[in-house]
Amino acid sequence: MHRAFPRSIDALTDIAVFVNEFSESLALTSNSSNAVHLIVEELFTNMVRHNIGGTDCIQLQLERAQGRIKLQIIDRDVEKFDINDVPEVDVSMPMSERRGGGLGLHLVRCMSEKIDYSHANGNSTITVLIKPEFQES
Amino acid sequence: MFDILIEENTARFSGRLDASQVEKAREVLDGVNRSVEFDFADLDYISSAGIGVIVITFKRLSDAGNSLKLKNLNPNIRNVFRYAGLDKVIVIE
Repeated sequence: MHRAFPRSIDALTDIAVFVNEFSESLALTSNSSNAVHLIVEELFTNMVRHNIGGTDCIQLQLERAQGRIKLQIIDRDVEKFDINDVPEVDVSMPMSERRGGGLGLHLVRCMSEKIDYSHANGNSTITVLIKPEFQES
Repeated sequence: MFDILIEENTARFSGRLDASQVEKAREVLDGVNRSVEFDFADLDYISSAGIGVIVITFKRLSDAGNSLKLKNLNPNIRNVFRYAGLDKVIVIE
């Protein structure tokens, strides 16, 4: 499944509908569906907020590939921003010492099997693999 | 559709608390100034943006000597709080 969404936080409602359609088509469990929802939201909002130069829609592709859920999100005409360079947050720190930011990517890392980033011809592409669980038929 | 209904000392959350709903959540929660329970029985989903507004409210209430308890979390939301390390910070029933 593939669709383009306006680079706006308000697009999250339509994105949730799109992810629901994908999850239902594969009969993903609630746990796996939630992981796809969360990873898509975190990466999409990161691109909207942090990618410099982007004016086009953000492309989202979801598919089942080689026993995994493959999630790809592409932002065109933007500067490089490799999310793998973002340091891990320490969630064991006391609340008073925690700084804002980084939690979204931390959650993405917790729920993903593999995260790849590439930047070519001005296009930023993040590819995430998720190990899925399916509802019993 | 996301909503928060305040009933006495309980705030009942429903729907999806994603980044597009954070301002709505913050407007409601900024009015809470006493010890309170957040009932997530009808909350389907939360992202880091939603977690952020819960943490801000928790810190504000704690600094004022009030408490916050979360209850009726579905397994997915419970996992998100666990991954965020907040299950050891905020009381979760």
